[in-house]
Amino acid sequence: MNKLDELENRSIYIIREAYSHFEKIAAMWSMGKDSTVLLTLSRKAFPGTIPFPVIHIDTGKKFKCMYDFREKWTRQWNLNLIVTKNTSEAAKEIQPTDKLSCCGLLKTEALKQVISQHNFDAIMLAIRRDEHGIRAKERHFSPRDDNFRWNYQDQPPELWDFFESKAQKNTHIRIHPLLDWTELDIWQYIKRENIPTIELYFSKHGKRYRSIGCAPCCEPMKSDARNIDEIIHELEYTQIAERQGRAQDKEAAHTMQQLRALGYM
Amino acid sequence: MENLRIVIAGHIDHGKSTLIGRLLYETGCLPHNVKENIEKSEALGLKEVFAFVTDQFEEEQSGGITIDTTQVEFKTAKRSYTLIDTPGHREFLKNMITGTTRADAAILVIDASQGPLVQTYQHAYLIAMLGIKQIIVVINKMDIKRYSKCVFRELSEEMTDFLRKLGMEIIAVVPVSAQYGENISAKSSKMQWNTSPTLMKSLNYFYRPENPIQLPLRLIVQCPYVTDSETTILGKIATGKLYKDHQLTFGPNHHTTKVFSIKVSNQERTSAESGQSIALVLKDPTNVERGQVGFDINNPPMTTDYLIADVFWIDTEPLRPGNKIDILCGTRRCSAQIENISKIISPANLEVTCTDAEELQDSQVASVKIKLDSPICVDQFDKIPELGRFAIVQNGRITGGGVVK
Repeated sequence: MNKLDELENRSIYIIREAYSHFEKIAAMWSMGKDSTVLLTLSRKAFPGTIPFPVIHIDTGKKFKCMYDFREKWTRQWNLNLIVTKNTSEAAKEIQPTDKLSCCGLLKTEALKQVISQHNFDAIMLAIRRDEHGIRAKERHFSPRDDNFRWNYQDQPPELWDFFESKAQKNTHIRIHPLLDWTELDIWQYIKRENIPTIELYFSKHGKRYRSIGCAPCCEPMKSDARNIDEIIHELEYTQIAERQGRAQDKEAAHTMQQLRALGYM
Repeated sequence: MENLRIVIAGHIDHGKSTLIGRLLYETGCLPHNVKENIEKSEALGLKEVFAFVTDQFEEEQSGGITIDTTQVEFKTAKRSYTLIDTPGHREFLKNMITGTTRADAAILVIDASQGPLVQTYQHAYLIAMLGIKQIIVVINKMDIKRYSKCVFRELSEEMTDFLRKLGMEIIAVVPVSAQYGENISAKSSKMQWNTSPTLMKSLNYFYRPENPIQLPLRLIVQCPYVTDSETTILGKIATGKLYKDHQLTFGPNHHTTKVFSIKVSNQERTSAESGQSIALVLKDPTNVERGQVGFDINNPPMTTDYLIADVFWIDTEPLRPGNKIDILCGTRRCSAQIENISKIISPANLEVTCTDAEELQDSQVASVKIKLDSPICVDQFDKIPELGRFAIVQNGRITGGGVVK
């Protein structure tokens, strides 16, 4: 088995384990490359349609093409889509100049609301270890307390393929089926499986987005990679970090750790 | 490209994280900004700069220790490697074991100025117990010992003896200084006496564990899945091979039925093999449920209601005879009770320190007998590892694990 086959099979195993463990489970979809791969794997894990809802946290600040992409593939894949938005006054007024508060209100708060509305006891996320040093420390099954906090100083053990995490009342488990994948694996898999992607990833006028979130906080990077093959080639040689264009990662040294400890994805 | 997963183990402060940072740095696998930071800090004479590549928690950087396991990847022309960093501190042994259960091979790091210490032996013992067969010993901080050939030779002999007793295959013993980059990717001019390859070269001698296709068939059932038209059995082939039209028996209740169709990755196939997640349509799917194991009736696993096993314990509350626990094996969950802790083993000298013990404490290893409330299917760990290992669960958390003897 080659590496992509190993990753695919193990991720499907984890998705099915999560589905078997929890009654109320959902997958997060940002329309980015990683979470679209997560949906592809979920479609492969079960005959027919994906048997759990798919959540999009709409900050209202996404790129227009992301909304078009969402509508098209929700229909095509017959997804049970839940769009959620923090509509509080504070959320309406927040400006992206304050990263901690903005991500906190528009993403983490919105996630809290949708989890409590639907009583989800587990949610699947497409984070990967190689994205960020803090995410590299994650488990496949990662508990969050009733305040959404991640107790990173005392994470539960995970042995071989045994995952054990019972969600207590008002807590939930984050499931990370793609933790072992690298950015290069993702693109090679997108190519192999012919998975649709947003056009922002491809170079226009010498620039492309490598990581996509909210429009105000994403910067395109210099690149001539206009298609998947060229992106794969570029990644084989690049020494620029993937999330270099993401503002929330560049703040103070431990912003990502603070954001994640408070419940950020 | 093939991938190999290597766990980096050893006593606290012997330089595991620094070694990983150094390997990534020398293979050009660090992002620009990280590389620049390292070079700036190095110029200022700061220590531990390489360790920060994996020690990303604020508490890890300020304390200069690794708390939790991390995985990073780097590539050579031959293959890609996933390096699994682990904490050497006794308190974080559960995180070390979490990392080690995912590895194909191990590197044991030893400080040349201190020699093997408590966690050196403990980690080595656990690596062997958890089924990793191949190891490279890295004698680090050779700079402190002025790159002495004698120091290296003594430690090398001592560790080789010890690891052989554990049944490990020693791929190489390599003298290095991770801090100063000696003998990592280029041969060290300071250790002319050393005739063996650099650490980078030695990694090439690790082999990929064989995909267990040749072993008897073990299919782990995750769940029956009902759609309008039919019931599909979702699961994973742990070992062996499965064919369409195969007569498949499910244990522990021994229900035999025929395989109508096999899907891998949503595509119809005539066969499937170890490592693959599959969907099966059976002639008679009734009575097939989560936790069962599928096999060939001519080559069945053991069906048993007790286990004799080697167990490691990773909880602050000790394990005692009479304790109620849950056992996870494959996807099976079964309530059980500890019947006795027959002997506790000391990793440092491999001697029995206590027989018929009253309790097994955090980080200890013992032979135990476990009485199960109902029969389960298992194999001996050294024959079919995938079905010979289990986790112990209490109150929704894994508190230990073991291998069936």
